[in-house]
Order: sequence, then C-alpha cells, then structure tokens
Amino acid sequence: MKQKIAIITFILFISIMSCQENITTPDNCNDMSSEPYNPTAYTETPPDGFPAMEHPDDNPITVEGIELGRHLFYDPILSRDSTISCSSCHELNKAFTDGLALAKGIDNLTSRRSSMSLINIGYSWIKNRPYNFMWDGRFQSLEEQIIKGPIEDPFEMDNTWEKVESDLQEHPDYPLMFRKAFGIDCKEDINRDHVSKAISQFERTLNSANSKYDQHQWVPFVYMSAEELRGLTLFLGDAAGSPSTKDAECAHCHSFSQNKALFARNEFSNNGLDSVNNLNDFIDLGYGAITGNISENGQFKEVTLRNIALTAPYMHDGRFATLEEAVDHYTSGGKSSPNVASELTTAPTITNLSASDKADLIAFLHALTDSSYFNKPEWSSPF
Amino acid sequence: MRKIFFFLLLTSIGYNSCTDTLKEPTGTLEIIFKARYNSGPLVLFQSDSTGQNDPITIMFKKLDFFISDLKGNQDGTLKDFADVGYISMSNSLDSSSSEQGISLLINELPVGSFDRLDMGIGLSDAVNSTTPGSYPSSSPLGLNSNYWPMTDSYILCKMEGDINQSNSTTTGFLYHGGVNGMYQQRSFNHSFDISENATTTIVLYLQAEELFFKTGSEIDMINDSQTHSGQIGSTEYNLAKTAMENLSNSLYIQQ
Ligand code: HEC
Ligand code: HEC
Repeated sequence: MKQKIAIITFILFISIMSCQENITTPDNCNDMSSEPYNPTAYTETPPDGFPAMEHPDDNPITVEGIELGRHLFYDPILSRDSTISCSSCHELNKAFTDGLALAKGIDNLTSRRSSMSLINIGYSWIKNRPYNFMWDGRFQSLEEQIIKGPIEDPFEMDNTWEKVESDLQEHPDYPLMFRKAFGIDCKEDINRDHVSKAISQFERTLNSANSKYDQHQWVPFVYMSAEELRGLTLFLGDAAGSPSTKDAECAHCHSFSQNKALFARNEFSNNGLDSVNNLNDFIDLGYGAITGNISENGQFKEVTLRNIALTAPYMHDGRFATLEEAVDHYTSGGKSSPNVASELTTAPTITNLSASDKADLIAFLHALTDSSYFNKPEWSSPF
Repeated sequence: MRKIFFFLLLTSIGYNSCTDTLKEPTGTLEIIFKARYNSGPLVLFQSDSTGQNDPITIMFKKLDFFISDLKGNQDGTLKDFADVGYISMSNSLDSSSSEQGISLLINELPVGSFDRLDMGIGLSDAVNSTTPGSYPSSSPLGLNSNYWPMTDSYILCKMEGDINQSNSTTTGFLYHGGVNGMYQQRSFNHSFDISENATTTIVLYLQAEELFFKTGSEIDMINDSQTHSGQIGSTEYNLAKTAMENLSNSLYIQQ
C-alpha cells in the first residue's frame, strides 16, 4: 500500500515537473524556436490546358515546404542503408520513371510493378474518392502514398519511420528546414507527417504541359504534322463524331478536354492484358484486391499518356518494351476476360488499323512528349 | 450505402440572402435510386435472361447517369432543390447492395408540402456547355471521365455490359448518351412533406429491362451494339437519344 502511494506521488511529482519544464524548454527539446518561421505561400500557375491544382486543406503549399520536399525526394537518407531515394525509381528526365520493366529497390530487389510517372501527378487526385494513387489505387492522397508506401516497403527502401525520423532529427541541416517549412519548435518534433507533406508539396509542383500537342492548341502558328493529326483522329476514334471504318478509340480512357488535358480518365479498368476465364485467376488482382470487389479484379489505373515516349517499358508489369508493342496489344483486339472494359469490347474497327495507321497513332503519342522541363533546376537534385 | 453529394448552388444562394434576418426552418430530402431487373434487384456482372429470342441474356457492367434541375412543386410554385447529381449503380455488385440503392441527400430544403418532384435526366444544354476544367474534382462535372471533348459534351449516361446471343456468341454493348438535345425531363406526381430537421425519403426505381426491351422502344442490341452519340441526326445520335429516352422512362416513383 505504502509503496503504491509512493509511486503515485512520484508520478504526480514527475508530471508536475514536466509541466513546469514545458513552460520553459523541456529536456528533450533541441530548441529552434528562436529561428524565424515565415513560410511563403506558393501559388502555382497551371500550364495552359490545366485547371488550378487542388490539394488537401491541411497541406498548403509553401516555398519552404517545396524546397524541403525536393531535398527529401532526392535524399537516400530515407532508405535503410542510404542507397535508395525516391529519385532512384523516379528519374527527372524519364518523366520520373526508371526505364525498367519492374522497379529495382534496395539490395537490387525487384518490385512487383513498374514505376509510374510523376509529371502532373497532383492532377490525378480526385478529392472525394478513396482510391487514387498507384496502379491499384490503394492510396487516397500523395501524403498517404509516402507514409504507407516506399519507405517501409521491404522491396523498395526497407526502412522504418522511427529511424527516418531520428536520422532527420539528428541531421545537421534538415531540422532548420523543417522549422522553416512547418514551424516546429524542437528538432524532436520532426515526424513522418512533415516528411510526407513536404514531399507531396514538391510533387504538386511537377506540372508541365509543353508538348507539340499543347503548342498546337495554345501557341499561334505551331501545328502538329499531318501524320500526328491523323494519329489524333485515330486516337479519338468515333468519339470524333462519325463512326469510321477504323478507330483506335484510345480517348475514351486516356481522355482529355480542352481545359483539363490530362490524357487520363484516372479510373480503373481492364484493358485486356490477360486472358482469364475466372476473375480470380489474374496473377495481379490490381484494383479488385484493394476494393474487395471481384468484378474489379485485373483492373488498373488508366494512367496519363503524356510523356509516354519517355516512360518505357509499359503497363503495370512493364510487359511491353516499346510503344509499338503497346499499340499492337490494343489493335490486335486484346485478350478476353469477363470484365474487359466495354470501350474495348465494343470497338469493332480497332483491329482494322494498317501499319501506316499505327505509325500515325504512334507519331501522335510522341507529340505528347514534353521535354521542355528536362533538367529544370527547381525539379533537379539539390545535392 | 453511398452518399452522393449535390451542388446546392441555387438553394444556397437563395438562403444566403436571408441569413442576416431569421434563419428559415429547413429539412432534408433523401432520394434513393434502386435499379431493378424485372421483379428483382439489378446486380452488375450477373446475367439476366432477357425473355427475347435474341439476345438471350444480358449482363450489365455499368449504369451511370447525370440528373439535374431537381425541383419540388409547392402550391403551384416550383422550388429549386438541387442543380446536378451523378447516379452510379457501381455499388450494385450483389443483391443486398442493389436493394439498398444509391442515396442522394439534399439538405436545407424549405419545409412544406409538395405534390410533385421534377427532375432532369442528363444535363440541360446550358450546363452541358461548361467543361470539367471549371469544376473541382469533387464534382461529377469536374471529371474528364464524364466528358467528351469531341462533341463538347458531358457523357449524360453510360450503359455498358455484355449480351449473349442464341448462337452462343458473347458481345459487348455500350450506349453513351451525350451532346445537346438529349436532355430528358420528368415530373413525378407524388405528395411529400419536408419537415424541419427531419429527412423525407423518396424511392425511385429504375427498371433496367425497359432500357432495351420495352415494346415500342426496343433497341436492337445485336446490330446496334454501341453508340457514342455523334453528330445530330446521325444513326449514332438517334440510337443514343433512344437510350436516353428509355432511361428517363424507366424511372418509377414508389408511391
Ligand atoms: C524501388 C523503386 C521506388 C522507390 C524508391 C519509390 N517509388 Fe514511387 N513508385 C514505384 C513503383 C513500382 C510504383 C507503382 C507501385 C504499385 O502500383 O504498386 C510507384 C508509384 C508511385 C506513385 C503513384 C503514382 C500514380 O500515378 O498513382 C507516387 C506518387 C510515387 N511512387 C512517389 C514516390 C515517392 C514520393 C517516393 C519516395 C518517398 C517513391 N515513390 C519511391 C517505385 C518506387
Ligand atoms: C478501356 C480503357 C482504355 C482504352 C480504351 C485504352 N487504354 Fe491504354 N491503358 C488503360 C489502362 C487501364 C492502362 C493500365 C493497364 C495496366 O498497366 O494494367 C493503360 C495503359 C496504357 C499504356 C501504358 C502506360 C504506362 O505508363 O505504362 C499505353 C502506352 C496505352 N495505355 C496506350 C493506349 C492506346 C494507344 C490506346 C488506344 C489504342 C489505349 N491505350 C486505349 C486503359 C485504356
């Protein structure tokens, strides 16, 4: 009994102590509160053909946040053995992909899927929808992707958040950057939320749309070639208005509108990559594994075709090495399974494309390449 | 049950103007859309027999559409309820979810007795002349997936799936209704009260077999298996228009 009382008094005592200490500086605080915290709001001017960028309310974009995010994006400190950064699999001049069929992570381990482009990535966020990012849509927001994605993935960075947090807290430069971006008082306040918010802010600035297609739309006297224009007509297919004898009909899913020219519907569908009779037989269940709906098995994110010439190999598992192979997949009619997208099962003339039609279509896909951002200093490694 | 969010643009403007005086009492209207196939719930990815010589069976994969300009008739005056909503049956993957339906909540409606519910199926030409770039992604009007740049139009309805023919081939069908002139308007005579701080529920049934097989407005699903609407007057356009009319006529209010 006595012992209990003693313990309780002791606890009381400690808590009183720590309360008092909080008023000044707690023992466990490496105080930075005398350093200035004046974040500069950042307003992105969207490229022509794009609406204003939306972002979660609790992560306003600031100049200091972006700068911190860029450092973290390029810093292997996030991985267990300091060998892998986000940029290892998301390289600037490859529209932030890696040129591999399946991504390569720590210890040369191979991931199960192909890396994805990050140009204009903020635009694939649909605010009220639970599934937005990754081939299977498993993350709602960019922030969630960072917290639950690569850092603790044993095939990617194989680290723990506890280690990332303590490494950053003890780093000579980062604490001050976190202070400037988020106004934290103690180095020990640096946590995974700040890391994910900063990288997400950086990602939301990776917007560029200056391809030949865009110039054709917006720049006077710049036109796509006859070949590219014929490709565009095929790409649109009978969405162009009148049914024709040959359609590629890509625009149903890789869709765009004048002021929202994403070239992606950002929905999930089965584009006929695999032949299965039973919806449970897909090797990778994709979206269905996340939603739990069998009818959504084998569906993957309808990604943007912007910069597609920079992001080979293609599809979630990198099965097609070239654009020619990807186009051949569609123009051969694709493979059958119970939930192949209706846009494809009702495209009777997709198989009528001649070799020169396919060349036109591919020429148009190349006209979606934007190399104007290559080596852009603001997006490049700060190290 | 999925809640569909509404633009209460008109109603909220109406109400903003009186907020500095006394706040008027308001109530909520819940409209539940239930898709049925004959007498049972419509389940996506499940075959139903058509009762026709051909096709023999039909399997829906998608059944989505815009509704707009919802109004209630109160003593001869039409009150604006909501501007635009998007009804997607994508949750109807088993009979119990299909039976539950899709619920649409419209808040802050003026209280009182109404004797008619008016609703547009699709979008009026005015709304249809806007583009996704002008709306946030939280709005059904803000999504590229609901828009067709080629015809400068939203995709007003999407009906997709497979049919099985008597010669045992399976083929897809896809009817996307878009472009101006396809907007359908319905008036449902129905008495209901909106009461203060309470929710009134109205159930609308969509009889899916009537989309294609209703005598007098059948669609030849084998020979006319798809339409993306196309130019006014074209075969594709006429087919899409029939699909839109059938969609509108397939709605019944539960009395
Ligand atoms: C080992 C390689 C690798 C590393 C390291 C890596 N990624 Fe990725 N990234 C991928 C792969 C592979 C995918 C697709 C994975 C899937 O669908 O399961 C992906 C997908 C993404 C996506 C989703 C894109 C979309 O369109 O939905 C984002 C965003 C992203 N990564 C950001 C990051 C960030 C930020 C980091 C660093 C914190 C990072 N990645 C580190 C390989 C990597
Ligand atoms: C039914 C919707 C749909 C249609 C129509 C469609 N696609 Fe796709 N596309 C997808 C989906 C879904 C993916 C991702 C599939 C996967 O990886 O499993 C994809 C992926 C791709 C990729 C690879 C993207 C990457 O980053 O790896 C290319 C290239 C492509 N599509 C080109 C086309 C072309 C060209 C057409 C027209 C001939 C077309 N698509 C028509 C849905 C569609």
